[in-house]
Amino acid sequence: MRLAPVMRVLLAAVLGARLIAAHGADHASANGGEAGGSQSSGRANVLVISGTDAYLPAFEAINRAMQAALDERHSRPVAFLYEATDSGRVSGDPGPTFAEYLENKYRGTRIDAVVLTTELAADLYLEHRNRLWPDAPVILHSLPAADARRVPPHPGLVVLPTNWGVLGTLRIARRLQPDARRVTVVSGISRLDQRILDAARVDLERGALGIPVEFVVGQSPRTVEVRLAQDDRRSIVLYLSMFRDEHGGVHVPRDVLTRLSAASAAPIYGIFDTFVGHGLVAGEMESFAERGERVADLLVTALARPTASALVVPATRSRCVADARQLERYGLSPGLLPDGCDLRFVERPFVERYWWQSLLVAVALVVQSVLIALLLLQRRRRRAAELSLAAQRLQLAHASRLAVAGELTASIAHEINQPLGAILANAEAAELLVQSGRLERSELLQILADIRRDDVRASEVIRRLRAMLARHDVERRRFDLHALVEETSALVRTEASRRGVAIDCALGARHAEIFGDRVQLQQVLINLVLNAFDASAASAEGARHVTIETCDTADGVRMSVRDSGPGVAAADLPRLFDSYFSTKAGGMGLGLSIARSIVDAHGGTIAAANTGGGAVFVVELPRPPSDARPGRSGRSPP
Amino acid sequence: MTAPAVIHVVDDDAAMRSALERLLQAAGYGVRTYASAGEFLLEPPEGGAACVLLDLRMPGPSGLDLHEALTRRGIRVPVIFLTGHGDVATGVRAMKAGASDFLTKPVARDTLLAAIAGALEAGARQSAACAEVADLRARYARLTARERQVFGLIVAGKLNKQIAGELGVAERTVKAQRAQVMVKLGAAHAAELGRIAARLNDASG
Repeated sequence: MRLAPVMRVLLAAVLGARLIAAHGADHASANGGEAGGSQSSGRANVLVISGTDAYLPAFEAINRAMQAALDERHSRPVAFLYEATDSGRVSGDPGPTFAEYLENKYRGTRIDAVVLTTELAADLYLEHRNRLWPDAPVILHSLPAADARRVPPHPGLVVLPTNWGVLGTLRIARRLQPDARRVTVVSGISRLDQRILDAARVDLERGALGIPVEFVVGQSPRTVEVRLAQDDRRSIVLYLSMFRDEHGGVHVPRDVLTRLSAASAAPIYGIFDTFVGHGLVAGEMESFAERGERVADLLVTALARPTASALVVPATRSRCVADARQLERYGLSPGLLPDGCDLRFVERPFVERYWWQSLLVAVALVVQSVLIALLLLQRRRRRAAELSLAAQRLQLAHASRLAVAGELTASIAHEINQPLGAILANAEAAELLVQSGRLERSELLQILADIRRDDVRASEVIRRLRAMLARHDVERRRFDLHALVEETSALVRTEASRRGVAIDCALGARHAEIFGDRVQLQQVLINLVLNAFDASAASAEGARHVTIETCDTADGVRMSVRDSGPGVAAADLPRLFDSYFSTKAGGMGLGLSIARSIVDAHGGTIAAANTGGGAVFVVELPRPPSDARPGRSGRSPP
Repeated sequence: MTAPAVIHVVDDDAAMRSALERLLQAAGYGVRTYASAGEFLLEPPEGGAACVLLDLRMPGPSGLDLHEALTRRGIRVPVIFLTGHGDVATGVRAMKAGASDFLTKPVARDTLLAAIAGALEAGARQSAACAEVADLRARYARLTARERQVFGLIVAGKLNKQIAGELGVAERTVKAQRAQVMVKLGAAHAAELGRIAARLNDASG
């Protein structure tokens, strides 16, 4: 049992009072009641004799309330002297020796009033009252109402009985557990246990519960614990008290309850106020504090003017008390409790109990959420920016292809006009021949065949051009690099002849299949070839050569474009692929930078070097993965 | 009826060559085709009415190069340029070099034929002029040294008397020589001598 500091002080005061009293008694015997005289000057001495142990929680509660109320209400200071027979727990009977003990002990100490707790104390004291303090008024409390009537009438005796609310408690239990199938009554076997149990039996018999009642009496707390643990929620457990078990174990009933409750699978009900908060679900009970105050009131009255005859005053009110935590533990609804029931230990909402911590956490959460939201927003913006960058790159690549096309305009126009001119001339020749009537059928067929051939030629040029210029999303598929090289060299052939450059292909790779975006890689190649043309312009006509070569590498294919120009200045080599770096007078410096980003996106490399007679640009591309399927690339387009 | 004019087509594109050949033949011309400038130079046109249709852009020597080579060699034949993609700069250059026309492909038949007719006519005029100058040169070559002196002075506008004084001979001698010059050069009267002198000068210039 934990003692609150107040209690400890109180205890020390009580023990001190006893010592002083004993000491005083010695002096009294020596000095003819001097001590008693000195004590009688101001204060009233009240002797409290408890039929149980002095520290029973119920009586501590009563005594504390009593003392507090008395201090407040009584004009004179009151000293309390405590004695305990502990007959509630132990089986022996102190008998006349106890009276003798009291007599000796308090000789010389004036006792102004006696408070008797339980009939056990009453039996002992009233028997020897005449020997002890026959004139001191007596307040007897905490005995069942039935016993109150049996107490022999003494002058100045006021009886405050108690109602053990067994029936009320069982009614509450039935309300909470309408489907309960049995009642288990737990009790000890001390005298007080027996008295309570007997009173309960009477009530149970009267109550006609309609469900079987089982009595577990005198078993050790350990045994009861095991038994209750195997029980279930269809049981109602009524725990009365356990001061002593049949094995002689002596207990504090409230502590036993704590043990039982921890183990019990069935809800436990009880009738004592002090049990609430120690594992009791609910019960009908009197308030010990209220009883203590009531005793104090009776004492005040008695000290002022003792009653002549015995008087039985009504018990304090019993009421429903419940423990919200236990209700929750057993899944019982507080709504089923009777109106006005005192529901204790209601868990205040978390926020209410830890309001500032909650506030802190809430603020932290809000701040965190806002941060997360901001980060997400930022991420979205970055993603959008990345996408728009990717889109811009795509546009830039397209613009660069358009620029290439512009560069090729003259040769492309030539290439298209050539077949168009031939078509026109053929058609007009046919017309003339028809007009003059000299057209032979075979010649007409030849003319038509020529026209068709030239038409195909012109549309082929346009197809190649469109393939290069079409605005397209990145599309990856397997394709033959050699076919790409051949098509590209066809595209630039006229341009080459316009510039007086001889263009050769040396396609040595045996595995020229690659995986990627054909249009973009063609763009890379055209870029390199046109650069090579530009570089070759520095050489004399007739010495201008551009060679496109392919060969196998360990993990892919290498494509190089070699020119016969002056080569790249050593200082420029590292910056060649940077954006906006150009060695040409009108160059934007984007061609090679775009080329590099395209090659990078294909997992390849691009590099430049000087050969003996010119520059060489080398593109290395990886071999396609064995299971590569055509489809849109997941990577951001360059 | 005289032999038809011969059109020389120089174009690297076989389809274009054969189409032009077909068209020009249908229009009544004689046609010879060449795949390159070099091929043409191996067999330059002989006498008679002719004209060259020259593709501006060809592998090897371009049309302009060929035109210059012809001019250098004194092969006076009208040249019409054909180009797939005309631009002002090359057009101006070609015309300055003496091209008779500059056409872009695809070229409509009427335009082409009109250009050819014009070129042939100009060629004919030019060759006629050339023939006259050659005749005059031949006549002039027959003059004696003294007669050439007298011719020069006459053309310079000197009177017989002045010429006699300048050359230190009798005026009568100058008259005889003058008559001789006019006979040899085929001039009907003195005024014609000035025109002849101008043409000789032009040709030698």
